[in-house]
Amino acid sequence: MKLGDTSLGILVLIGGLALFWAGLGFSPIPGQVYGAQTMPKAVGVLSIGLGLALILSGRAAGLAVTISDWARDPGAWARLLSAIALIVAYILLAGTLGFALTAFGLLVALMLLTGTRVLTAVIVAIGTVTLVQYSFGQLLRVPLPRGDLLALPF
Amino acid sequence: MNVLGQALALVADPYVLLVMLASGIFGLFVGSIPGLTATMATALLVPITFFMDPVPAIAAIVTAAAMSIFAGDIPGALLRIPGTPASAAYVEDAYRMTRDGRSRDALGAVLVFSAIGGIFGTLILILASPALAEIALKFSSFEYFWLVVLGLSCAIFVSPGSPLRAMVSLVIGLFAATIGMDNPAAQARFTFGNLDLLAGVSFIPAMIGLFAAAEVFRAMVHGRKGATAPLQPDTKGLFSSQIANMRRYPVQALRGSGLGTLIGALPGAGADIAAWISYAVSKRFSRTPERFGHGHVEGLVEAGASNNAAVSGAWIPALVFGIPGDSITAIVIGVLYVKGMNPGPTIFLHEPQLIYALFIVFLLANLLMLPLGWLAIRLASRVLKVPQKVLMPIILLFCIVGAFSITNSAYGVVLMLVFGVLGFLMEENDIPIAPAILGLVLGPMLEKNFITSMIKADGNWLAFFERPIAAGIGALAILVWLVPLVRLILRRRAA
Amino acid sequence: MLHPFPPRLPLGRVGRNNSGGETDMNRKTFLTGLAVSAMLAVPGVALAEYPERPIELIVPWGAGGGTDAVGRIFAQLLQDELGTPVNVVNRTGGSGVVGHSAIAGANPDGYTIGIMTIEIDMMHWQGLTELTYADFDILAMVNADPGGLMVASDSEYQDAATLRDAIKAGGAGSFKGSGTGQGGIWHLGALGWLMSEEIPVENLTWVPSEGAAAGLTDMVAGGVNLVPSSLAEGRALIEAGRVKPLASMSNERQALFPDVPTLKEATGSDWTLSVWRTIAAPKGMPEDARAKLNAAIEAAYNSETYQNFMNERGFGLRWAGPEEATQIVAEDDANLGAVMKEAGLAKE
Repeated sequence: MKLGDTSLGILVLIGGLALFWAGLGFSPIPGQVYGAQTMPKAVGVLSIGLGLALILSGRAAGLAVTISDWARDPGAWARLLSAIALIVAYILLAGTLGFALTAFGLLVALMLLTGTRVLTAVIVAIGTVTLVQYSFGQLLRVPLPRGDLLALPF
Repeated sequence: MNVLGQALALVADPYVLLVMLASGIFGLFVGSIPGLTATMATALLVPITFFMDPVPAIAAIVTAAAMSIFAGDIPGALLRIPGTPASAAYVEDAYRMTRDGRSRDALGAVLVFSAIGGIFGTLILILASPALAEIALKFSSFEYFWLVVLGLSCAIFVSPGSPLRAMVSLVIGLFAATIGMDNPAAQARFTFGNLDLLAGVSFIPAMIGLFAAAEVFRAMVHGRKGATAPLQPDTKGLFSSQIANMRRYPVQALRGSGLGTLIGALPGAGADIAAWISYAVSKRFSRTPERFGHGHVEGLVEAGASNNAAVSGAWIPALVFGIPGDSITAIVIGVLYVKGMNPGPTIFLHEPQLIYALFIVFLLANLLMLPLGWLAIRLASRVLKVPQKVLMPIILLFCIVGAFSITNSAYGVVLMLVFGVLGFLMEENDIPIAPAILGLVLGPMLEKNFITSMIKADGNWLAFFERPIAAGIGALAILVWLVPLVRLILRRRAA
Repeated sequence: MLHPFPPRLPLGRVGRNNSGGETDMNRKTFLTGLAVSAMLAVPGVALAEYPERPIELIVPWGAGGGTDAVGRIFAQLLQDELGTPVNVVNRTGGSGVVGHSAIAGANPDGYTIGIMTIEIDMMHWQGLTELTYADFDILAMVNADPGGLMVASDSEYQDAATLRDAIKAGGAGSFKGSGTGQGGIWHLGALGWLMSEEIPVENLTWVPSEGAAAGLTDMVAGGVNLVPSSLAEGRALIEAGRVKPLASMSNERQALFPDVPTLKEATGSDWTLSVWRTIAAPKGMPEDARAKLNAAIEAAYNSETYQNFMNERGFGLRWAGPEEATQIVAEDDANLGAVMKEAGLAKE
């Protein structure tokens, strides 16, 4: 889905106004003119100007919104939204299930989504998770979530 | 001379060479994994260096840092996951080259010109440290403000396509940079009572999201089959094609190295700004500016040399005045103190053999980059043989782990996801990604330098032009904006 | 050779709550049959004894800073004492709020400890969090650096008394200082000094900076008049003859700077301020873990490695056991709160 200049300009304009309005809520450094409000207001003003410029430059085309080819394919939407949902699931579950188990589930599910064979997916997932757990968790001391159910023996 | 002989003897020790080799491999490994930074490689080495003599200790850190900064370009070129904001400047060109089956040309250029930039920066460090450090000391918030403005302007002019859409991207980045409380007023902004948001938007998870996660989402949508990109056939050596580049772009390589060293020597700037400004300079003076951003090697040559030169340049204020130019030199200054090599002008007088040994280590580390980098490129390129449907999920896992390891919490993963979706939407709308990264990195610097300048000048705007260097850079920044405008007006008149 | 750490014990990686006893153990045995039986073959390893798995040491500040350096050396030394890996985890942002919250909110099983810094005595006054030192189990204070008073070496004020008189006479906004963020610890240090000299706090305008190094460079570049950070942070520039130290905000002169008078000697002010670092844990740790950690921390502090490291870096050595450390932290909490309220930096 591609927005034309006018529609994008309207979005940017609204965003700029919101940012400027939010900037009014911040206060300057005590005893100074400038402070926390300066940057949001300045970016807000820049966005408002930019939004107007976009609206002007797109006035010939109207409120054009182009639909990309893929967006007509429900399968593409399903794959995109599932991928996002899987990352959300990882974020929610990794703390309790631990890195190894959650990452394994994520990998297998994603690979099935892209059309990999089940056996390949499981083997690749086990290999990758072991490698990541070892290199990040062990060698580089990244505190990957341990989880309460399963952790690899190193 | 005697001192030089002593220094050579200190470095030629097999133990020192072995330490350099091992930490070089370690640096390559850490750097080539997205999300793991050169700073992290350095921090992990610190406890180990406690038990070493000064020369091997510093050699380990210097080698690991140099290698990991180069290695950050590998996932950038192969998978579009830039390791640092500095390599984000040219990631688009490098990745397009990979897609066209020229991955080895792209990585070879980055490798060779990284080494050239690093060596150039080291030579300047050896020859002109005290003088350059004096100049660096003259930079205050006024000068940095203009430098940041100059850097931000580059984002608009280097982006291919509509400048208005590039501005949209920049504004998104600038807005994201206002989130959190790490601003001069130390006020919490847009945090909605959330603890993690107090820390603001950490740019590496955001960058992984905008570039890499967005690329994974696109692959899910288009369901491409087969390999990610064609593997470049091994018809000619990795280095031989770079000799041609060296003949074609000698000015670019020198200009990138020189500018990179200068900007790197400023404690408040660093490799990020250096790479972007160099890329913009390269495009501005190129005979084929229209090819930038579409897989053109010229920008890689100049910006690749520039960011490694900046890394060497950062040592200038660190050694002469103990002022860290970036987080790596901050760590090393601590190690220097522990090893009794107190930074300061006296470091050149008290134990000159140690400082010369240090310089030799710098040169060696940059030379060692060539064979080790060659090996790393050959090994890493194999990843392109993996079919897309298997590789994309694995990339996503690396994105998650990389984003996690920056914040050491799930917040990094959330950031990556949010910016991944944002990046996907932006590319659908032909909004370039790079300006948003620059806005995110430079936004806080812009705010900080503006506000502190205004406090120092009691609100007097003219202060931005009262200091000679500030006035100079300021005039340049204004010119950058005026010249295209004047041209536009002239063209309209002519038409 | 890159990681000369003892290998992690294969056992006990399984459950988070290992104090559980039999049923917990059975589940683990069931799940990791092989690993556990391999472990049982190793004589002399008791299952329930703390520590049986890696410990996390949370550092609320970024890699490369002073707190990170102290955290990393301590992690290394504790690892040698306890025989289990101690991993440094940087949790940065929000002026330390993120990291301190992570320490206080962790499971109090002895496997998460952290470095608590003086910012804990400031953030709740600013209204950033409800968290105070009372939410922690303070194990020891391992370092303290007194604040200082530094000017550029070409400054017209070459001693602290002259500088004080000039600030007093100058009126509102006549002087500028830098060295931390707005309301940061050195900002408060400078304000506390002014208050002790009965100088109105408006006379000093604060220019926020990211750390002392940035403030010092700005001072040398002519941007500000003074930096009240610890003298150790200005060491290289002092040795280079660019910065002149005027006073130390401590009761005694510092070993590294024997020629620099204390504030009391220089101006007669009673104001002192030291920035400390403590090892702290979430409240409610099991007694055996606490005892072991306390012993290990004391041994690590007294080790030659730690003493040498701190001396070389120019960091101040300061030992205080759990009770004394808690008392110091509580006193500073009250003092800093008073300064912040007076200067209008505290939330009402």
